[in-house]
Amino acid sequence: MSAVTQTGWSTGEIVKHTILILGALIVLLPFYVMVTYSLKSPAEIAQNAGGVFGSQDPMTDERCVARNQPVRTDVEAARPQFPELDDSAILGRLMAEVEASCQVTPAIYNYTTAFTEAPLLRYMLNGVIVTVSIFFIQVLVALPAAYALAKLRFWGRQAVFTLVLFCLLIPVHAIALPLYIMLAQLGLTNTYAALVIPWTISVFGIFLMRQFFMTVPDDLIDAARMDGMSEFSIVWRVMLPTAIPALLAFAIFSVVAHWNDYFWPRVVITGDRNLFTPPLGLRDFRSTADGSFFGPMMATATVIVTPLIVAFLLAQRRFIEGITLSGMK
Amino acid sequence: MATSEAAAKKAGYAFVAPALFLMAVILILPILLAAGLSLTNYSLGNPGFEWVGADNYERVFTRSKFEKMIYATTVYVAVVVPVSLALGLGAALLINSVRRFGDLYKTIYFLPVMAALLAMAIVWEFALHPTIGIVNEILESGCWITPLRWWPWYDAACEEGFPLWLGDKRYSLGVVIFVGIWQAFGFNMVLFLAGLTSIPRELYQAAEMDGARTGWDRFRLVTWPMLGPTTVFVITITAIRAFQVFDIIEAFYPIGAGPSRSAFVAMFAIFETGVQQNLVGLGASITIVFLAFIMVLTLILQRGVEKKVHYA
Amino acid sequence: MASITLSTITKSFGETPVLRGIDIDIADGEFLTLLGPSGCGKSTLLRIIAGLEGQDGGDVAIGGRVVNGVRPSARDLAMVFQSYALYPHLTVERNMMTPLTLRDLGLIERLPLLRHLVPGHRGRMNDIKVAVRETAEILKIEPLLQRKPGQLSGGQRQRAALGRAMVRKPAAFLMDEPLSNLDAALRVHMRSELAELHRALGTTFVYVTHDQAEALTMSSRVAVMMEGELLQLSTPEEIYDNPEDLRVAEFIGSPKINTIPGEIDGAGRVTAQGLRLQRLAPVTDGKVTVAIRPEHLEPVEHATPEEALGVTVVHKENLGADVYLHGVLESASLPEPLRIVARALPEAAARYGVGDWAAFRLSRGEAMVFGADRRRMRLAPAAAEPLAARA
Repeated sequence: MSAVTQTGWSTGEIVKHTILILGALIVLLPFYVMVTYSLKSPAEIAQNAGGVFGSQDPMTDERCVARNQPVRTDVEAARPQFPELDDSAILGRLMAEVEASCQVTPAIYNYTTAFTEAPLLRYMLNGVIVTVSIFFIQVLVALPAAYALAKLRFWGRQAVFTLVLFCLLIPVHAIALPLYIMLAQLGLTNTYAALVIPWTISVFGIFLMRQFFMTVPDDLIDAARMDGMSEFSIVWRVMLPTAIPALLAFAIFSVVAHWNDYFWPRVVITGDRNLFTPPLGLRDFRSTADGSFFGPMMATATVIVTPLIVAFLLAQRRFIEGITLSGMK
Repeated sequence: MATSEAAAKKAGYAFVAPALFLMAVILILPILLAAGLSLTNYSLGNPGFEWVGADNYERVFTRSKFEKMIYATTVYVAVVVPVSLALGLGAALLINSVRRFGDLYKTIYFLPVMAALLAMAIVWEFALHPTIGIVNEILESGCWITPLRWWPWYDAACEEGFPLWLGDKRYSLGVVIFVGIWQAFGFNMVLFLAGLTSIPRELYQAAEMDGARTGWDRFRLVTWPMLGPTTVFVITITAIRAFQVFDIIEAFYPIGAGPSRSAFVAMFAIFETGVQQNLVGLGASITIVFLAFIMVLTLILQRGVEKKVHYA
Repeated sequence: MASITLSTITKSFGETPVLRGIDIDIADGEFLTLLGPSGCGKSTLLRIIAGLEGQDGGDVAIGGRVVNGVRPSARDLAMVFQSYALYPHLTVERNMMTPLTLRDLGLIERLPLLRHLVPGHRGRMNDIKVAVRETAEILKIEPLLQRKPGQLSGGQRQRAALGRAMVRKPAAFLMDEPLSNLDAALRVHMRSELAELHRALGTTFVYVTHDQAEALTMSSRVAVMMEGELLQLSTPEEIYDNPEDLRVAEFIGSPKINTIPGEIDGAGRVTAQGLRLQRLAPVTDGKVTVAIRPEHLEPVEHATPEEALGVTVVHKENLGADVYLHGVLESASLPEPLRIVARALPEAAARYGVGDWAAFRLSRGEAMVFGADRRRMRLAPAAAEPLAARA
């Protein structure tokens, strides 16, 4: 604020950047660990060697070796190739061949294992199915309700809005237990429905959209009515297009919350791997993995975390808007 | 226009009906159900149940296990909220005042908000591994720096080895809290940055003309009061989120919530008691207590405090 | 109280120059208005005086002391902002106390609780409260002292902002369009109140506005600025009657001054669309602009082409006491029809309907002539004047 505009790096500026850089290092530490471990061999992880990207020296894939272990028939089939050797020597030769064919680069090993040892693609697909269904149903329910609460006059409207405000106080995770009991009684645990149903109603979405619709001039709606539009088509053909920016922000808010959600899937999905969402899959991977699986596990974590991070980096402003839009209250 | 009005009325009911139904079934009914179940000894799979009155509540408030739950939850919230608020505000003020790279810091600090907390908690567990973890490795590598050794804790750790972190009950809750703050403060920072940009520049200029010479004067006179509504909002939302912490504990301690249940927070208690151990009645009573607590706190923050920070 | 001297102030924002060497001497106790359209640099100049902005070149001196690089808080100036910039969380009283507490109390005395430990605190606080009360009395805002800005109307906020500026008796007041957020009636009222306040306080006022009415009604002198230049600095009367620059002539006055392209012949005679001026230009041969205020044109039924402009009436603007007749002048020498406005008394205007032909006769000696560089040309009375009039 001083009248003299400063240029260059003053002491204060250097101190500020030092603090900010230190903070950034702590924030980035786990991301660094995740990515760097996902590139390293088990030996490198255990010895804390290999620098940032690992040495990428070929390593032996023990599982591959175990899978291709030469058996009796292999030895017999190989006899004509090595007439001068006895069986145990042939076995040794075949083992060497298998081991040689099972040499892989750690990075490739980690990432392929992540996808082959567990149905990671399936988890990702489930994540997409669940987040997309949740978002669409939320909009389908919230948009007309928000329009009615903002623009239509009917008896009991205020009561409904009061109920919405009350429901804003209820965190869905907190009532997970009774919800779980209800779904269990209906036989719906371990289904996609169980993953989606509790989130179909977003009171926050209703509230947000209502506040947004309040700012839309009544004249626009009256003009649509004069053009002969039904209330139904006003919602989807007039209000929806005007609400695109708010909807986009809400979409980001919703997708981020449900892609990353772990608690609810953990409650209602027990055992059926085909229904696992990405965080559940990662946890499952972890509980079954032994120490040598650190690399593939970090690869899994990287794969799960990457889509949102990349999307965030590409559209930062929108993401921050979306995630913080709860601040509009 | 009578016909249009009638149509609008009909449409109004039709439009709110699905939302109303879902609110009733998904949000209100479970609360009533939990309230009912909390008075029973119901278990999933059992054909019947008995009314047990307030027994479950009595257990929640008397058993040492739940004493630990209340302690862990309270400590977690009581530390995460103010610290992540202070860090978020500090980061926002710093980022706002530097001339370069502000956006870069903002992006970096926001990354944890985007990343699946469960995944990042698992990574933190690796980083905090007592022998091969990077945290202890970094700490050890600083042992030769004499000024750092003036810190007794650090000096002792250099001599006798660095903590086990997750395996040590003295540190376990602290580490959970640390990860919670690590994840939360970027969100608060972004809210504060938004709050800062909405402060009229003329107020700072008026303060300057009025003789506010130091940064502290400007902060006291303009920044802090003007951030009032943001601060209340940050406290509310951070507290609600902190109360619901679960992923970190499940990632660190899938069974038992840490050495001697040191990180036995409410959500974990509900999950373990009600879902895993199938003590639905007991779990439901925790749910009710927990819910009442969150809702009352939110209401107090929204109604009571907010009046004092909105000036218009 | 102090004089303010600005010498060759320059300022650019990036590549764009906003101030191109401004020199102004503001006398002690003067009410000086910086007037100009938005973007002319007037607010920037005010902020440079305040110290909120640094100039690229030139000096600012307050009371004879050069204050370049001195912090705003050390310049002993008070500023009233367009948005008032009252602290919304403080009552009017606390708002008005702020400049005094920040100046007169030490750091510790401003801290909660600790302040009670400082000796003499109570006495100093009392002095401050008395000062605030006195100022509030002058501004008639005593009943509002315990309210917060959010509970005040626009006019009340305006007064509270004035109060905050006045309470510490600064060397000069700087005001940045302080009336622009008020409704029209209140603005007119506040004009006279501000002028009275200035007389009562006798302090230097530097006032920024784009509203010529404010400038003309309140100021001792007006500085008209455009595109970062000071075009003219004189009394309101001079600015209106004797603009030195075509842009000043066009900016001041409502309705806008009529401008008619004209030329000077070899003898220095000025003609514009047939109209012939009776005075001679100091130069010969060239293109000029003849500017005539609407009140210097009178609709008449009979006039020679040399003393009047023939137009077709297209619009009558009735303001009650006066009627402005808008006429269109068409000519082959004009790229497009020229709109000419004349002031008439209602009964004179009644003779004309839209579509009628009218002659707008120029009052003698009232036309102003501006050269191609937009500077005013001083005309000399011609010896052959009576002849020319007859011809």
